Amino acid sequence: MDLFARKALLTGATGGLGRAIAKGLAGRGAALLLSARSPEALEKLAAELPGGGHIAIPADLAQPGAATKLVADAGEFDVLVANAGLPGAGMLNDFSDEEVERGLRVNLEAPVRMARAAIEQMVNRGSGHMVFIGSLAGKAPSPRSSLYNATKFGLRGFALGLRTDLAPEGVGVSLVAPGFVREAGMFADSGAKPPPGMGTTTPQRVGEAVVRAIEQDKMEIVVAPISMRIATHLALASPTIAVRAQGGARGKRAAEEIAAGHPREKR
Amino acid sequence: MELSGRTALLTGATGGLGRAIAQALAERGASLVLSSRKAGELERMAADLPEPDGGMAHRAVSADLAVEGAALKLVDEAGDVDVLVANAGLPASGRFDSFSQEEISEALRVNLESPIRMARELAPKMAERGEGHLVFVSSLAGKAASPRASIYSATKFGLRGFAICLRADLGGSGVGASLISPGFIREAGMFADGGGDPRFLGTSSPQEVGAAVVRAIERDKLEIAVAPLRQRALAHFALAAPGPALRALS
Repeated sequence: MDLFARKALLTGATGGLGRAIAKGLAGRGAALLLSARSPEALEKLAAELPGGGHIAIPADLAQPGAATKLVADAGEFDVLVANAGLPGAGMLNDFSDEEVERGLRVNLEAPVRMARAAIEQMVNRGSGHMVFIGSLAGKAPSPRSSLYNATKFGLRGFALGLRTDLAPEGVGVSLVAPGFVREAGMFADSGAKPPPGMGTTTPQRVGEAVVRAIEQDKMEIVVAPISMRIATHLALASPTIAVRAQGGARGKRAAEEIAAGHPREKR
Repeated sequence: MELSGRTALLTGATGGLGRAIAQALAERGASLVLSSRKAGELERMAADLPEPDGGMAHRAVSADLAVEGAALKLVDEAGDVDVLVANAGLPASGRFDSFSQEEISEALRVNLESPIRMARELAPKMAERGEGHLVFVSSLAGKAASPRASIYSATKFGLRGFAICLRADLGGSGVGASLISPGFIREAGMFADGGGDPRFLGTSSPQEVGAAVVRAIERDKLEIAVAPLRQRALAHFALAAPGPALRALS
């Protein structure tokens, strides 16, 4: 789908990856419906982006019903980019019961419910595109992030299944799965180093991948250096080996650094 | 972990797979806490199962896991358990737009959120005792996305990612975690109930699923797929190359 003069709803717009995705979409001439929790940050972003017609729609997707309300508030749009996500790194018992619920709601339930709320208008028009921002942690189980893995594996299964259902309707579905992203986003915010040999990618590349997924109707784009894509593919094929490899001292240290770098109030 | 004289909490106990799992666990001498929505059937089942070793009778605790907070209440009522078998699941198949918003939330809650919240409560207690086992009954649909099952795939992919990671995190604590992935099961369970016909892919029996759960606990297995070889091979192919696999299935 050509993005010029299309309307795109983007969640998590003011985060590191969100900003880069917003720039990527606006650079192709799309008018953005920007969503995140902070109205001020959204207004500022809307004013800074190239092109015009960008609107801010604040929403806290951890609240019950917020996802469907956001889609209703957004009105008509051609593209949904479900990017908002809470960092879910840490041992399961480090999360309170309420944090478990919030993590599942923001990272998995909200994208699914938004897709459900948006589907009729896209199918009726016979065109549209939904992009779900997953993670390499949705393909390769990584240590100390069972909750995050649950949501990102889940989002991947959902997107792959949904793509087949919607293809005959002219509506595209893509999964964009970033690895460790430097400079901005939840991994960069944690201040941790990636596991040895894995390398990082940039927010700009994630933004470009989202544009490409929509324009070329791609099923899945992994945004990571080749070394990491190979490691992930191996992990997909044999999780036992992957878990053992990452359960080693160096992998565990990397996972601990990431978890320690995420302030509790972000969950 | 040896099952004789241990207490195991089993959800979805009155379903087709649940009954076979209950039978297999009881035959190994485990004392069961049986749960599902059907209080009357649970009581009958508890009375009919082989008696456990060690004198603790089987118990029935009814719960509707689609209801907010029910998973935690169930864990609370079950008390001390050595084994959790999270087997309850809604079929959640059908085109995505045939689901209401409420049905989406229910499927996510029963199939994914409930097992996670039960594990969140039980794993630390098991780790304190230095032993225990968590079994998550998933599906081959947790490895291979299939058409007209986007919600089901979301929950079963999610459960798989969760279980594999949790197992790694629990390493060294004495608490195991396993994933059981049945393919098409004949005679009982949601596939058989739906009148499914897997054509050339073949089927497995509920008894094989029960035996796999026992084996996962006794031998601390990461993942057991209960399906004929050709189905397992297809799922593996779909895991590695979802694009061609989805095209072939649709």
